[in-house]
Formats: sequence, structure tokens, C-alpha cells
Amino acid sequence: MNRRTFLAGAGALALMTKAGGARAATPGFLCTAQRPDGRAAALAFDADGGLRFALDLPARGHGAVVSPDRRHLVVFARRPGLEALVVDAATGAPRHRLRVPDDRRLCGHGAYAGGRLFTTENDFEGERGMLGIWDPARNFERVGEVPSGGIGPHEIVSLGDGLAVANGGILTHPDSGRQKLNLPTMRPVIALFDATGAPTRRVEAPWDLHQVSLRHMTAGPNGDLWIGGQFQGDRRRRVPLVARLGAGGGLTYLPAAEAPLRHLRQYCGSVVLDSSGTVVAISSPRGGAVTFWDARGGAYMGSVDLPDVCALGALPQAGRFVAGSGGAGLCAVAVDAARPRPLARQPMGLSGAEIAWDNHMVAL
Amino acid sequence: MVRRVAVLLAGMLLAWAAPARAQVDLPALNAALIDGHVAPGYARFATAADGLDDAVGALCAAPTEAGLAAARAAFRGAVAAWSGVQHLRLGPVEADNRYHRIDHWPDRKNAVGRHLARAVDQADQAPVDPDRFRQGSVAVQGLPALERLLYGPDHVAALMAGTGPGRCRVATAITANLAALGGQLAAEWAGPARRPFLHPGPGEALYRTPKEVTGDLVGAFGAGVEMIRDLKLGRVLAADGATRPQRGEWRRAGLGLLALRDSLKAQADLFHAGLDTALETLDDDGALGEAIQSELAAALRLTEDLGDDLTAVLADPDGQRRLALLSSQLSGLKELAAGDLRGALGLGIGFNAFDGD
Repeated sequence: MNRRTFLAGAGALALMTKAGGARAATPGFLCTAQRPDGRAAALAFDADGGLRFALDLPARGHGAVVSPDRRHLVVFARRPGLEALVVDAATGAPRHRLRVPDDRRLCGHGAYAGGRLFTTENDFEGERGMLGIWDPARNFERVGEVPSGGIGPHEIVSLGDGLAVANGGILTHPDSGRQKLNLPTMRPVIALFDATGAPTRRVEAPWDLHQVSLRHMTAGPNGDLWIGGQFQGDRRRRVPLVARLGAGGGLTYLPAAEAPLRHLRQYCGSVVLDSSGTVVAISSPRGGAVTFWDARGGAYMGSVDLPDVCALGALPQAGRFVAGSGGAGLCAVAVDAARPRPLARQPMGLSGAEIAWDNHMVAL
Repeated sequence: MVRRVAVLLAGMLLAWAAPARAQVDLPALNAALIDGHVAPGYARFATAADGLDDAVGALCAAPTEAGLAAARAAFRGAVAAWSGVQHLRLGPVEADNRYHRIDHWPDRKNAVGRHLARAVDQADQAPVDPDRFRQGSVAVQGLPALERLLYGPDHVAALMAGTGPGRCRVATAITANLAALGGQLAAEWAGPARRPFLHPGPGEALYRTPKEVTGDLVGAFGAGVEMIRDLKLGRVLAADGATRPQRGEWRRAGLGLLALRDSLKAQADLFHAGLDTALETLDDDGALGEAIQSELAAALRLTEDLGDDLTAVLADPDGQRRLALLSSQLSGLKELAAGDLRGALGLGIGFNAFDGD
């Protein structure tokens, strides 16, 4: 690859993002990150390369969520976390700081439903997952909590009329750092809730796949959930890592085919749907690849290599994503039905290669 | 804008094309770490588990004070040998919950105690069926359950008095299980388990490249240091200085400090099995290798002359101070292992790959 193809690639990316515009006027993303000097941050950037704002975080961040009215952005500390930061979604100006009670720890993700913010949390003495409930209308005051339906809740997503929580099944306790305490007996659970936080459905992983920790997911346009797992058992086994939970049906694991599993290396990092609702992208930092899946039938479409990639965001055009790497900056990746192909590696805003992009990004 | 991007891209491409000054022979390094550290460690555990099986068998055949002392000495040997591989969670130990069947710890809700009581009750009624034992609760199959039988006052009194056959039936089932697991792990590391580590390739399920193998082996070094800090130390000595000796590893046997020290020695053994010489081939004045070596040595020095028993050390203000110092020492060592060492070997920091969520 020479300079000219790179220029063409970069130009194509800029054109592509400008021409998109299916959603907001100028698409943008916020991604948690680590600065070259090791400080934790979250950076908001435009899809065509400009830095919007940078937030300094007191500790390593993880996921983030935008409020339904798009005014607020909430950035969550990595588990076991104590704080989440609420900022103005356009400017990054600080608005509120959420702090969990002493006997809870944040798990790094949150989602809105029914006008409230829900955060996944660990009740470590009770050895159960919880959802913290916060009221944006009352300065994000903590107004309650409900059990999350399992152990080790991780990603939580809005379903329009409710919520879905991926309980990964792994027990941790702050007095043991991030050590996993229950691998022989772990049991992932996908739990669904209505908009008030009342449980409506609880789907346990089958016992023969109980060590595939179901942690990250995205909701498709028809209410299907696409779920990525991380295998905690014998890595020489070939187990399915990607599952789908139909709005009415059960949990279906996509076949453990050799090609995608080789790229995922037993570990799904982020699961994101494209803007057209037809392609699911699943990253694997361990495999150094982004894999693509047909969101209609579940067929595997192929992959693009990017070392240490994890964070993913949907660009405005179908099949296109921005991906963040720990060591190789930001990269636009795309898939077409025939052949997945990388578009360009484009540093955005701050010199991309010097920023270690952390696990997750959110579209602004 | 386009021009700025192009300049930045050119810089990135250069950085991309020449990622590391490392000229380390990764396949040779991997072989050295497997042959010099991993495989011998499991061979030692297999030998110790065999010795434990013999000693507990002899004790149960004729419960004497000398027999009890010999069984406890064998237990101490097994704990020491296990500490030499306890940081390794890769390879054959990943299968069939083998790791937790050997060592179910930490045991927050006393699963070991509860399941052991039930197992002893059942074994008082009928002999232990080895297959059912193997497929039952992992909590009762390994060293922590045996520790209770050999050191818990009530268990020992009943065992020595020959009150009911249950305790000895469970104890010998445990040691037979440990001997079998030890034998399997040693045999697999001497044979088929080596293949994916020594001959990674596109068709291999586990590793595609030597770099991925090195990444996991170096990861075991960092994870081992973290395990010592967070579990062996962190559970008994909180950041605010509070001590909780009842949470300590092998506290019934009084072997917590021995195990901690042997885990530290295992990290040093892993480092000196080839990482040290790999760093010497790099053009960095040997600074990183020396730094890691001196951190390891300083950490080991802090645990010297303190005996085997962690509880006693925690009760002593000077001991507490040394353990707190050790904890911060290990944080420094973890930084070197997770950051600098990876970088020097051209493995990438693995910000997401090795420390994801």
C-alpha cells in the first residue's frame, strides 16, 4: 500500500461520512482511552477526524451511553468502578457525578429506559448482580435498584420498551481484585426488564456452554439480541461464541465454525449493529480482528484484521464501522456482502497511534 | 485536512512497519519457557502428589503420630509444588475444571467445608466411588479439602481415633484424584499439550503465531504477580491496613507464607527460564532485565526469614509492614511485566487483548 492509496482511502472515508447523514447532522463518537502518559480519558471525535472534546477520567473508563434526548453523555468507570461521569453531550462540560453505595461496584455499562438511567452493578457481599436506577430529572439522584437476574452483569442495552442485561455469570469481589471466583459453577443469564425495571424474562445459558460468559450485546431492529461471549474453559475446545436471543424465542448459538472462531480466539470484545440494521460487527482484541455477521440470518460474512481492536461504532453507511485499537489507532472498517474489506486506517483528532483506545465507544 | 492526515498516516505506517527493535527468537523463547519452567513445574507437582497419596494411604492404614507428621510433610511438599504452577492457567489445566479440582480457592462461602462434611457423612455409609467423586463437587476434590482433614482439630481427632471410615475414604479419594491429575498434567505437558505452544500455525485452534504463545506465557508472569498481590496478600491485608488472617491461603496448615514465597520463586523461575536472556539480546543496556530481576529479588527478600505461617506474620507489626511493602513492590513488578516487558519483546502492550473486560 502506498501513500496515494492511503490518501484515497482517507478521502473516501471523509466523503463517505459526509455523504451519510442518516442520523444526526454530524456523526461522532466517544471512546474511552488511555493517554500516552497513562492517564485515563474519554475522547469525543467526528467521524471525519476532528476532536470534539476530551474528558479526563479519575480512573480507567469502560462504556458510555447517550441520553434519549441526546443532551447528556454518561461515561462509566471500569469494573470494579465507583463513579460515572455525566457530561454535556455536545461540549463535554461536566454536569454530574454518580457514585455507587459502598457495597456496590459499577460493571462499566448503563442504559436508559422509562426516563431513568440503569447501571449494571455488583452486590459483592450478596454475590448477585444489581441494576442501579438513577433519575436524570433529579440531577441523576440514585432512586433505587433491582436484582439484575444473575451474577456478574455486564452490558445493558435499551430495547425501546425495556432493557436487556447480559449477566456474564462470573463472580468477582473487590477484595480479590478482578480474579474470577466461580468458574466451575458459573452460569450466564440474559435477563429482560420492562421500562420500570421489573423483570419480564430470564434466559439461562445451557449447562454445556455455561463457561461461555455472555457479556456484550446489541439489539437488532426487530428486537433480536446479538450476544458475544468469552470462553472461560478449555481453550482447545471449539465452542460457539456468538448467540442470538429472538424476541419471543430461545437462546440460539451460531454454529462454532472454524473461520470466525479462529479470528475471535475465544473472546468477543464489542458487539455493534451497523446503521442499516443488517450487519453485526464483533471485535476480538485477542484475535486482532473485527468479524462481521449477517443480522438477518446469522451467517458469518468475514473479518478484517486490526491488532488489539476492541471498541466499535457504526458509521452512517451500511456495513461500515469505526474501530479503536489499543496500539494501532482508529480505523474505519467495512464489509460488503461479497467481501469484507478495510477502508483506511485514519488517525482522528489527537494523533491516533499514541492514544490507546479502550474497550468501548458510543455514537453521539 | 487531507494533507495533515496523510502526514500522520505516513508516520503511523512507519511505526507500523517497524514495530519493534526486538530480535528475539520467539519460538526458541517459547520452547525454553515450556521446557525450563512449565513442564518441570508440573513434573514436580506430579511427584509431590504421588508422595502425598502414599503418605495419606499409610496414615489411613495405620493412624500414628509419625504417620500424621509424614502426611503433613507430604502435604507441605504438595503445596510447595502446586505454588510453582498455580499461576499457570494455560494448557491441559484448562480442561475439565482441573485447576479448581486441585485448588478451589478462594472459597468465599465455605463450599469446601460444607461439601466436605457431606462427603464424609456419605463415605461413613459406603466407600467412595472414584467416578462419582470426580464428577461431583470440585470443592471437595483437592488440596483445600485435604487440608481440613489433615489439620482441622475435629477431623484429625476423629481420623486418629478411627471414628468411622468416612474421613480416610475421602482423604484417600482426594489424594488418588490429585495423583491422577498430577500425572495427567505432567504427561500431557511432556507430550501432546506441547504442540500448539511449540508449533503454532494457522490451522491450530489455540495459537496462530509464536507471538501469541509468548504473549500468553508473558501474560502468566504478570498474572502470577497479580495473583500474589490480589489474592495471597490482598485478601488478608487490606489497603487501609486491616488484617484478616482467617481469609489466608493454607491458614489451617500454617503454610500461607511458604506458598506465597514459593509463588514468588515460581515467577522468578519463569523469568529466568528464558525471558532474562531474551532481554539481554535486546539493545537496551540490559536495563529492563536488571530492573525486573532486582524487583523479584527485593520481593523475595521481604518474605525471607519469616517462616511458613502467614497468620503469625500478620499478627506482628513489623511483619505487616513488610507485607505492605511487598504489595507495593508487586505493583511495580506487575507494571514492568504487563507494560515494559511486553513492549520490549514486541508483543504490544495488549491494552485490550490482555486486559479486556
